[in-house]
Amino acid sequence: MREHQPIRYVFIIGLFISLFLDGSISLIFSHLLYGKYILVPSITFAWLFFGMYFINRTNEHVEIWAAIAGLLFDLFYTGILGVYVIVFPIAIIIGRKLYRFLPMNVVTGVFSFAFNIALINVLAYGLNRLMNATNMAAGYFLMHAVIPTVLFNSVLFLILYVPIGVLFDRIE
Amino acid sequence: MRKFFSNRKWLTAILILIICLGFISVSVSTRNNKSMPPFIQRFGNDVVGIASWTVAVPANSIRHAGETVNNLINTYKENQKLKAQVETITATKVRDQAVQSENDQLKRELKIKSGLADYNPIVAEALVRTPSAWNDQFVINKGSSAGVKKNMSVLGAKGLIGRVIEVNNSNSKVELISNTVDSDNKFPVQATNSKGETVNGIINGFDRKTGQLIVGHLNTKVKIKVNDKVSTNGLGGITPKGIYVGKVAKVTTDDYGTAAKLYIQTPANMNDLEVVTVVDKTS
Repeated sequence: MREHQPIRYVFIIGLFISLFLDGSISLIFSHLLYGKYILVPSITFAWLFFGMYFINRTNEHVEIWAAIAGLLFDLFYTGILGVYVIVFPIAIIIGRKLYRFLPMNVVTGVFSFAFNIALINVLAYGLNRLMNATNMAAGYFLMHAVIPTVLFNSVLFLILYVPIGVLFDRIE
Repeated sequence: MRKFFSNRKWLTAILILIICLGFISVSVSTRNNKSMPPFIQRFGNDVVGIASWTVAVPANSIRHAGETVNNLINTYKENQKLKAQVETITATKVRDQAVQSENDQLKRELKIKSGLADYNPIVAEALVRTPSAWNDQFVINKGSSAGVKKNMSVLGAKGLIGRVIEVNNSNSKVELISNTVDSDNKFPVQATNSKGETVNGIINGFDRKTGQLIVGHLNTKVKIKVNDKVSTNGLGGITPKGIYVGKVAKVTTDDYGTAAKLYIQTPANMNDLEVVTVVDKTS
């Protein structure tokens, strides 16, 4: 029997909200985020990562939710099915492995998050490039997109770390 | 660790990867060849699109409020500037009307139903932007039920900004002209110099560093100079004639030194989108 777990609903609703927040923030601040240096907000993945990181007591299958979020991401945002649906779960699985190996604190958390964001971007770009869905040069992508995006999302992670940790702890 | 490397896990992982690659190639070819994605994808997109209003609508209204305040601050300055323009605008408007009616009359005499420059505008609002570094894409809130079709041109406040690449029932995806993948539809444009001579070409590149569009492979003797205007030429059947694209920023020759190559500066930053117009060319 599965007992009533409010954290579950909070996690799922938060996942959908963060999925749409990504698109809205990208639209509203696009003159700041998509200029010379490209800063892509990845709140969806941050939420999944926090779920993997903080929710220990419940047996929540974050990998499956990562796949679902990835599918919606592909469907609604890019229109190319099969990219984020596989990239998000891979990143969560690797994140979980890192989480088991490393001691749990903010520094290791932000490092494994940054590594995961870089991984997501590179894998998704690689798949798109492979299928000829983009013609952005790899060097340009690395210098003008990956590095700024990783830094930007690490800052977001640091800002959200305490509030979301407290939120999940309170609800559990 | 041993368990991770067991045969069955590897097999499943490889199987999943192959399935995903299959899905990617199917959706890329759908995007390039079909006028609409399959029913299930459209349905999913409509549902997600409606769900996205929960976040997008409040976010857009906050943005709108912010811009209103900003406008209020700038009002005085703008008013001064606009006052100077108003008088010439009335004169231009009257002349425009006269020319338009004369044009209609001449067309009727020549029995031309619709010219290259005629179109029906479909006004749509930008819902979200694709959070991706390499896909300059937007989702707008009008779809096939409002008459949007694939490959239609999309206008921003100051000129051409992109094309429709995916149509669902209640929303569609717009790709900016800065995305220039080989398989995409290319915009036919013409550059007009001060003598009124024109050169036709297609937009086939984008310089990410300067944010300029590239029109390559121009084989012509007409001299195009910096600051000459570039607009669509209405050839190719999808884009109407006379949509403003931008100004020539640089003229060079291509890699082989035989044909001319134009760099075009677009009038506004394409990143600031709120309301767009999808252009339905009447034919």
